[in-house]
Amino acid sequence: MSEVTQLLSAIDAGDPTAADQLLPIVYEELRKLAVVRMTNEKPGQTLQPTALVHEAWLKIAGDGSEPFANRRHFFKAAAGAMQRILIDIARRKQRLKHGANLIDDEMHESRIVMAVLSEELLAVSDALESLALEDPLAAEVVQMRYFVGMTVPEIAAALDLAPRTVDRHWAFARAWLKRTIRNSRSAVAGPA
Amino acid sequence: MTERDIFFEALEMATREARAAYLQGACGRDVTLRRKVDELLKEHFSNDSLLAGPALDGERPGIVEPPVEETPAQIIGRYKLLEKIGEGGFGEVWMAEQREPVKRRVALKIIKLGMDSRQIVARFEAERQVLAMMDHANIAKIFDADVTATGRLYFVMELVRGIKITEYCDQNQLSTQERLRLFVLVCQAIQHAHQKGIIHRDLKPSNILVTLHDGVPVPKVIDFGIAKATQQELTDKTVFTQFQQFIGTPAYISPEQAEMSGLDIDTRADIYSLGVLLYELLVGQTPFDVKEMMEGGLDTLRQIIREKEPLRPSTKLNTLAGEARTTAGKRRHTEVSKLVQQIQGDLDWIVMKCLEKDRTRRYDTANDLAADLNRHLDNEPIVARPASAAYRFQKAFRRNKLVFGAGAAIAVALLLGLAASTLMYLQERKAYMRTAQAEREQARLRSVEEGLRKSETALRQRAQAGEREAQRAVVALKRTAYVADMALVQQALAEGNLAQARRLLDRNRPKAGEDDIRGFEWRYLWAQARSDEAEKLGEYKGFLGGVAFSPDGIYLASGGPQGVEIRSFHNHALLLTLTNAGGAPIQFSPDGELLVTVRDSGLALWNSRTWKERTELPGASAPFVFAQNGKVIVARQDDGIAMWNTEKANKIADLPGTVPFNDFSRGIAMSPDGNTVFLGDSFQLRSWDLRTQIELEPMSYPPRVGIITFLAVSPEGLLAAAHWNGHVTLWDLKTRQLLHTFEPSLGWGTSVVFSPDGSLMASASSDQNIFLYETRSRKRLGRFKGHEGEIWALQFSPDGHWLVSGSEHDKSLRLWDVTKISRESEQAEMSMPLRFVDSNRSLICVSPKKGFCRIGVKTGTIQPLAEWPVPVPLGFVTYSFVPGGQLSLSPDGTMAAVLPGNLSLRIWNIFSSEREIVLTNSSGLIESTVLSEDGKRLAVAGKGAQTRLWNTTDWSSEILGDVVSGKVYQSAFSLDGTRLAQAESDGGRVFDLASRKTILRFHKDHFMSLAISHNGRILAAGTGTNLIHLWDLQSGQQVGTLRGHVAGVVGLSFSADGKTLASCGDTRVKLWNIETLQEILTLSRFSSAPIAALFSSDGSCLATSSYDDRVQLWPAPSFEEIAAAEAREKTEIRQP
Repeated sequence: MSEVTQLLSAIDAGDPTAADQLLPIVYEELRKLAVVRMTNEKPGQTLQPTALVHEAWLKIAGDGSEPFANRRHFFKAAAGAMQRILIDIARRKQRLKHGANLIDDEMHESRIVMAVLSEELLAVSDALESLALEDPLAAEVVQMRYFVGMTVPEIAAALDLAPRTVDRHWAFARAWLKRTIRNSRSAVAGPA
Repeated sequence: MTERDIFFEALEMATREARAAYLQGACGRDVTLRRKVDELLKEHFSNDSLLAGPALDGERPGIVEPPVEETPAQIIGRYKLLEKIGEGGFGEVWMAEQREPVKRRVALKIIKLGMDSRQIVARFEAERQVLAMMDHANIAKIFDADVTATGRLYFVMELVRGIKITEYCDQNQLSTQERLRLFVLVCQAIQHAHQKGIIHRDLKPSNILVTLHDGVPVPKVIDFGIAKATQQELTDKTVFTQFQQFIGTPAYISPEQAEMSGLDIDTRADIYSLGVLLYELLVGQTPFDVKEMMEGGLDTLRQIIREKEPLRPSTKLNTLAGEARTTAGKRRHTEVSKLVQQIQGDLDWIVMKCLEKDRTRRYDTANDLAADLNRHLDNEPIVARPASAAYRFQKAFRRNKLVFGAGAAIAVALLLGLAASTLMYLQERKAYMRTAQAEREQARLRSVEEGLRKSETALRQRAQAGEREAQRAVVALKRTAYVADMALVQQALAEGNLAQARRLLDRNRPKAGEDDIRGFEWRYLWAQARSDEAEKLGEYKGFLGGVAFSPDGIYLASGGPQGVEIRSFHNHALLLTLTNAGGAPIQFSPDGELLVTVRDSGLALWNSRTWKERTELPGASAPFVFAQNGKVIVARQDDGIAMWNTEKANKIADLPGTVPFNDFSRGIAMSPDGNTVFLGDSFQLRSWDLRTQIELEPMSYPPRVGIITFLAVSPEGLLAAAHWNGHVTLWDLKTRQLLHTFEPSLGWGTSVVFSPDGSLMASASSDQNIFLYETRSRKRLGRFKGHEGEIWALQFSPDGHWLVSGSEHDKSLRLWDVTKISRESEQAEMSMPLRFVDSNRSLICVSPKKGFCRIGVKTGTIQPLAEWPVPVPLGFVTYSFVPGGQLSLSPDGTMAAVLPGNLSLRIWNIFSSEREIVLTNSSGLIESTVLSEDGKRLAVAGKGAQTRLWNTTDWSSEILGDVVSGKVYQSAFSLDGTRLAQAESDGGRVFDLASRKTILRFHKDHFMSLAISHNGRILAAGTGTNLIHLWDLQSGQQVGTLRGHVAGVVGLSFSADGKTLASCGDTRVKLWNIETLQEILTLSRFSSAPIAALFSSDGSCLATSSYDDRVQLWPAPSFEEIAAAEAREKTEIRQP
């Protein structure tokens, strides 16, 4: 975990590469936690990523010595990691529908039941990439809200913003994403 | 401004108009921007699910991805899918190829539901070994269960290429008989599984496929083990849809499964489903309409299955009309009217027995069902029959091979017996309701227990502390279940149903390593459930309808349609069997030369020396009776009765007047002089003078007793009649008056007989009991219990010492020692049990009239000990004799302390009357006196005085506690003498005698009785209202209140093991289970209010006394004695 701590401090110090290095580590950590959770949980149970992220954070900063800024960096990284995890799961489910077999390792995650169809998740994820180019802050809010399931006050705390601001960004991002997804769908379906 | 900024601002606008105005200004002429912002706002305000919340949300239910289609050539696990061979609500069935370890074709059943596949697989794994033990040609093997990569559950089974049994039968237009033969094979397969402990739980036509092997149809039961693994999921209303999907049709599930408690299902659930299948095979429809069942939701469904009585198959067939009717006939290669005939009767009853709501009334095993069907196919009598008394009666005599005019006659019988059968029905219904209620309580308890057992397992995995707690809970529940079971045993015993009582007792025996929670009541009930017979003489294969003794007592003949067995009564050895003898009833001629048996063609007369048939009286039938010293037989013929000469085997005369014999048997009997014959007819007793051959004036009897079923005449000219409603009536033939009507039995009377000297009478009924009466006093002396089925034959031995009886149902011939009748109640005319002495072999009692007596606990003999030496004071009522009240006896039974007045106390040796001591309590009244168990202390207490404790060696005394303000009813020492308790009219108190301190005061109520448990832990005190309060004497806390009496509780006693408390109140003695604080047994055969109860210290006996000066002993053998008796029985069974 010291590696994570170092990276967090590096991010805080303004090291642009640190965030890229942190993401895979957090990803791995969260994935492991998710698998453990799903193995022990009753099936049909929905995974709660917020809890996972908090749990992961506690593992890093359980002693309370981490500077608060690091928490923010960590949550950003975790939101990104969580998005990837969910995308992986959604992709796997898509593949399964087409008759592929799973390797044992993948079984438990595949049992994660999402509140949305995997198609939606993938579509949101795709659209989010465009949004991130146009409005990175809104994209971050979406990651935390949609993929991690954090509440507005939680996001406000993590991003050091006023809750009202988070609220507005979420409203905008959501409308933006929906517009994008709808337009891409009608583009695929062709003009009516 | 970016579209974001405009969007933000637009959201701030309070109204639609303001927003429009703002957008107009902000976007100006930039149409693209305006369109984009408009789209954003439209998305923002639209209420769809997209991005409505997080992708994973604990609050929102997970959604199931649309199912994946299986495709041919797909590989699942070790199996390659080849071809879809079936599809249903549950999912799909595929033919598949297994490559390894063996190459074979199998069936893969892939379950569609979003169930918890893994748990199901885990459950299946647990079952797998058991399932592997099934090896039967008519059962499809189940090999494996697993989960597909997509998480779908599948089962791998033996590939059966067949069609549903119902379809097979219809397509091939199988006749009813052919259908039954096929069905019997199914029963045998189910029996095989049941014997391995496997219940199918989902028997229905689609799970019973028929394949052809060399042209022979072979039914195969599939899906064993699947229902068990999957149905446990279905426990709630919310799964109704799943239920519907998975079970497919509820038409075949048993009432107990419909409850969906999912816990208490046994093999009889399968019997029910088999019954539905049989119904469908016979009729073409299931008993209930599936549409109707499913329409009203789960509650309606349950209600129908639980409560609605199905139409009998034949009735259902008759209701078919039009095309359905034609089809039903055609499919069975006959016409519906013929079908109805085939099914009416046996098959109706067999099916209805399977479909009983109460599973205890169904066939116990699939084998029993198959056996009955085979009997029907072989034209033998079947076992199944409805509860209606009318039917049983009719059936009894039909089996007796009486010539029987078919349908119409039954109708007459039913009509005649209507009043009677209604009564019987009500009686049965009442008993059934009670039992059903208790059964329900049982089921509930057992399911709770089961639930707790499960939670116990869960807890064990977590913590040891939790485990202990769970175990305690399980133990507590077991105790509650035990208490409920004991109530059921009492119920069963009251109904004379020994088999049920024994079953219930047996299931409460502790298993290895378990605590024994049984107490006095179990041992008492065990003794009550014992059979009284001296010996079981034989086991029969079929109906046992008649017994007869040769007049010299040498031969005992018994039997039914399968043959008449002749035994030596001397050594009980079977000498020979008369085949072709026809059946019962059977009778020896008065001189013993002839034995008469009943055949269809006539009465067969056998030479009792050669055992060869001598002649036949053609046309003569049962009932029959010898007349005029055996020279004549009076017997029934078609529509009347006639006289036959036994020597010449010809008819002498027809007696005048028709007798509508073709309903069922009437009793027939002969006057002692052999000249008048009596015949029971509908509500009158008819008679003919054989010399004049004129019919005499009939004697009428009250219809409420039911029509006469059997007659007997005593040497003194008394006539006894058994009636359909279980009554026995007694008549004087000289005055032709009805003398007495005895209390009815629960079932219809089958026999009544006089002892050879006429002093005793015995009756038997279908309620499994034999009752013995004293003719002169008309007192019922007691009953013989032991048969486990209806008793249809009864006879006294010529020496009057023995009774022999035969039961139809338990197929046994039993011998009873008349001298050892278990008396209705063993009562001694004594006031009060005081103390068990001589190692509990004797009980010392006292009464004002007889003084002190000793009663032998085992023998019941009364031995006077001592006169009552002090004059009994006026108003010295029995009631006050309660030990610890006004009289107390020392442990050696020699010294008595009594309160002759209310100011003094006398103590004297009851044998020598020496050393009389008179004590006075200077300060107040003396109302109670009690001696400690070691005899060294004597406590006296009374209103207005302090309690005084005397030392009986030097007669020094000391004072305890405060002045008592209320009347003292009773005092009691603890067994070890360390505590003394007092019941007072305004409360009560307990003294610790070591510290001389009052350790407990209770003011709650008016207390009239008390007792301390033998370990000194618990104090029980009975109130003048109807309660018993319990205190823990160590903590001083009240631990419970026992409610159940309706009047004041005046006597209490703890059993030595502390498990049971006996209480006297109202007109009953109740036993309470202390662990559960539940009432466990009620003793209610008291002539007057019971006032005292006393357990012997070894728990072998409870003595009670009632207000009318009667002491009753309630014996309970020890567990050692029970074990010894049972071991003895086992060896006896092994050595025939």
